[in-house]
Amino acid sequence: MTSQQDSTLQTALSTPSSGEQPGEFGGASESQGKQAFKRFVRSPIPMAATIFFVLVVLTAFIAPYFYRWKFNRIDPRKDKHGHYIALSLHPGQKGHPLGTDGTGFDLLARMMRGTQRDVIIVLLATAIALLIGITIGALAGYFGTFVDNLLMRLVDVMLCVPVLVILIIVASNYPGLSAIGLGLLLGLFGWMGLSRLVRAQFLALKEREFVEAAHAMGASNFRIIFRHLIPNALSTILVFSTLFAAVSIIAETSLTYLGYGVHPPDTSLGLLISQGVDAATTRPWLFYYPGILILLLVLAVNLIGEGIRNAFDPRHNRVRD
Amino acid sequence: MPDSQPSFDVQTQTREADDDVLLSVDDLTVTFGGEKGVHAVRGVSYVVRRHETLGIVGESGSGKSVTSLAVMGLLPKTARIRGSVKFRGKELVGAKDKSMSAIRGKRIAMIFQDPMTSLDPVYKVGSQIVETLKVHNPKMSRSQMRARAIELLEIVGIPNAGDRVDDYPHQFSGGMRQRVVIAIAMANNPDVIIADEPTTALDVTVQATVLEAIKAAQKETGAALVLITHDLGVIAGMADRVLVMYAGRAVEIGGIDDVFYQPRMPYTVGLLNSLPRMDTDEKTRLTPIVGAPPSLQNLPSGCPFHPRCPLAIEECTKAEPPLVEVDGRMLHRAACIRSDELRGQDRYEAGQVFEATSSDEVLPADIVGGEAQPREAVADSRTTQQDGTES
Amino acid sequence: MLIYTVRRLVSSVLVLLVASFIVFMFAAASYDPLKPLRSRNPPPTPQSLKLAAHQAHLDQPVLTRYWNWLRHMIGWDGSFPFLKLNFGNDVHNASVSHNLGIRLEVTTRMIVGAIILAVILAVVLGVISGVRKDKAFDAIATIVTFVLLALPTFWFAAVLKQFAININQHAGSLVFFTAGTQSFGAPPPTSFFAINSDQLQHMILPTVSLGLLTASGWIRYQRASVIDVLDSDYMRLARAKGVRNRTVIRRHGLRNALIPLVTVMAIDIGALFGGAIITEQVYDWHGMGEYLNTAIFNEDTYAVAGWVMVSAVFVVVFNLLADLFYAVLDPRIRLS
Repeated sequence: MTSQQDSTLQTALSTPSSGEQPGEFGGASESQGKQAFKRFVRSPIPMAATIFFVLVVLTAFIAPYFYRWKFNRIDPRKDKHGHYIALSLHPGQKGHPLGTDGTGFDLLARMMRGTQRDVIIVLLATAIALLIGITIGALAGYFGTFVDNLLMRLVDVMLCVPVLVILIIVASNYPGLSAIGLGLLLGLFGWMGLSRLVRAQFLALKEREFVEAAHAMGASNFRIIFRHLIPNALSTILVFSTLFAAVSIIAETSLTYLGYGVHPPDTSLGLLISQGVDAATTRPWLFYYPGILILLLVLAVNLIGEGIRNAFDPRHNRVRD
Repeated sequence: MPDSQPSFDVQTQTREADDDVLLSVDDLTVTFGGEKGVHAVRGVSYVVRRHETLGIVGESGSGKSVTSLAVMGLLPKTARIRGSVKFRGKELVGAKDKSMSAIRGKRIAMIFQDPMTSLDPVYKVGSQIVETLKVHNPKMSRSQMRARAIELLEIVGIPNAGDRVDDYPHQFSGGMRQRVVIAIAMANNPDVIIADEPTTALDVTVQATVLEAIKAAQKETGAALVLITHDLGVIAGMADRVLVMYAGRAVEIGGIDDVFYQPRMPYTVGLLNSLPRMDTDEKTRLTPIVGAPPSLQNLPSGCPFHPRCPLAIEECTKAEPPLVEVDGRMLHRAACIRSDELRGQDRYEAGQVFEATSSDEVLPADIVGGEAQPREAVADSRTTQQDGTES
Repeated sequence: MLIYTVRRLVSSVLVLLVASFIVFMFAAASYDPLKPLRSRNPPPTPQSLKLAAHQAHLDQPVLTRYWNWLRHMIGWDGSFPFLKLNFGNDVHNASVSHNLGIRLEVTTRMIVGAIILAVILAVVLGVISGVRKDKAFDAIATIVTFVLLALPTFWFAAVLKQFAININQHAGSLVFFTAGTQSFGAPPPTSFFAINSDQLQHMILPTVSLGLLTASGWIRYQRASVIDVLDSDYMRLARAKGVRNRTVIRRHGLRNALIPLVTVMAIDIGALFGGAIITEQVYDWHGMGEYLNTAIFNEDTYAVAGWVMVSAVFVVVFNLLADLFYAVLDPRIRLS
């Protein structure tokens, strides 16, 4: 992950969430999550981004069943000389709405397939990063001292080298990664940022009175962590997820550009634009369309993350005296 | 506070540029977020005279802080302010930042609530005092300003002022930081000092020292003091006059003795009775006011206090009572249509109406000395929520 | 403060050691630098294989190799205590440290420009955006930064390349150079600071590309920091003292708002030394990135390990600098 995306993470997570009214202690007000959800739904830009994203993903998974061209079948039509007629077509020609590449594959079909792969990669990566990051961050933040030191040193070691480099080194050992493999890789090496954030949240939350109260009522550590602390760190986790997803999409493109990652005949959006780079001058559609799609998807995810952050912003709860 | 003479009444009634009047707030209204938004202050008027201490009391959400921020012109731009605030006859509402800046810190100074965040963490305490000196005294030399800063710290009771002036805020405790803020407020000998909940964020033991520092500041500068708090004990020790606010409006105003000993608005009565008593031998229960302050976006019809008021009648829901004179005296006014019925009762007698509305169980005998005293259950639909105020 | 620094230093060295160990083990265990040799036709004789293995130290146990490597790196091989920085030889038997040195210089040239550009953009745009929150400037800046944040690195670089090519075509001459550090056949730079106009022209595109992308994250961060600070109580108190609004923003707001950004910048810059791989590839600069790619491709243990050490050192050093800056700028850290 390049540095600029990590900084965005910092930005997005600099506002702490205010955990109010855990359900166990009663209280008539709405849970924080519900309030935030309502606020999110009412904000136009994040909602537009969400709708766009959902539409694109749904289209990418469903439309190929109805679409004429498949991502792994070249257009078989030949002219009377026996040459394929559908090579490097401009958008709109011969029934290919977005054109074709040099081998005869329909660009739109490949873009949809690419989106599918990317979604899988990102979902997997995010899930793994969340799992590991939350666990480690929670343990470090909650138990403190020795455990904290140990785990954070571990994180430091892993962060010593830019993540992209680690990914390259590891990926180089496994040529021809599938989407699953890529997702695993990204997840396994991307959780460090989240662990730090969760740890910071837990360190702060640990001192709050409702934790003391829960202890006093005999709640076990496990229960406290899961029922009380994690829900209060919810906003941090949610925002991280979206930003991590965005970063993963871009990381996938970087890895693929360097030669690691999904290989033909399968495709990913990263692979499409990597192949398109060489064709940028002569067949710009191969370069720009997939690139713009990536741009829009990542933009949408970032906007969703920003929307979530704003929805949880404790400033909304403040009433001036 | 001596009983007022009619001629005096006439003078204050006109509220002209009485030489004694420093600050004159007239029908001040502050709204956030348009007409459907929060009406934080809804028509507040008061007057601050030279050398006097005005206490403004109210729960969270009563609008007391917003009022003073409006006076200083420190509200965010989203606030709509109407009405008039005159300092020595000069209108402050709508004044340009330049003219307000000339007044702030020099004529009217302010002390904020949270000392932990009031001071800039990256500048030394001394330079933060010097900052206000420099703005209003451009001719003062560096050494003069430094000497003055040390002197100010000494007045508010900071030991080793000569060394401490070069320390950073985080090297002071909360109480000491607040004293620094007080030193800053008095630096240019202002005419009015506004202290917005100066002790709320501090421990009780520290509160006393901070209040001492405020008194010292008042003494040194001769300034009038507007003391905003929800703590009646603080008011009792320091104020000459008291303004009680509820739901964005003034509901009672008067001299300290009037308000404390002869409260004429049920809310004031309830406030006073919620304090623990030191002067009785037997144990008595605290008598809270049931319910919570109303949302400023959704005020009840009529008198905003009526849902919680034990004296509420049908007519209270019709219209909001204006502030009217108590016993024909201009200097003590209350906003309640039944205020006359509280006449003659001291606050404890009056407070018994509140006891009747808290429909709790019979108190166990071992807590009350003697036999269990059943309480009259008042048939009403009100719940007894021991809800405290929001912070 | 001194103790704090020393503790951080010791901790950093430990971290470096552990990182180097892990990477070396990983590389040594999985790499077989003799692969190209083995796959030759006709296959080489067992003696030549043995000789090659010996030269590449493959006949020693892994731990011994690591220890030797470490020893040579810190100069503990007879010429102690000089820090020799001998990273061993790569598969072509060239000195790793020598090559790394050259590559490092190239990479540094590229990032210096980008960093300067990014810092200026971040501070200026971030502060103005924060102060004029939700107004026109902020809206435009926000859109731009969000778009920049959404761009894959090399795609953006390639787009810039296209743009430059178009301009070149219209202008009829080579205004922008799209590849390499200097024109073909030109003499290499004599020293780090000697830059001629030809090289400058080659630097523009990579600098802009890397600079804009780095700036985008910083701008958002700075904006958030400014908004936070503007809302604080001490800003209000300063105004209550009679200080003019503009002065308050400058004197109290800026000072506090810039502190967190400094630390973020330091950390990101540290990562850039090893992290500009993509940009180098797109613009064909023979810097650290390309070296790593080649080293991995060649399954060159010593080259990879050496590279990772250098990169890690930069990251760790800049992290340390970030902490130190923070302590210098924020009295709360300095004096606690």
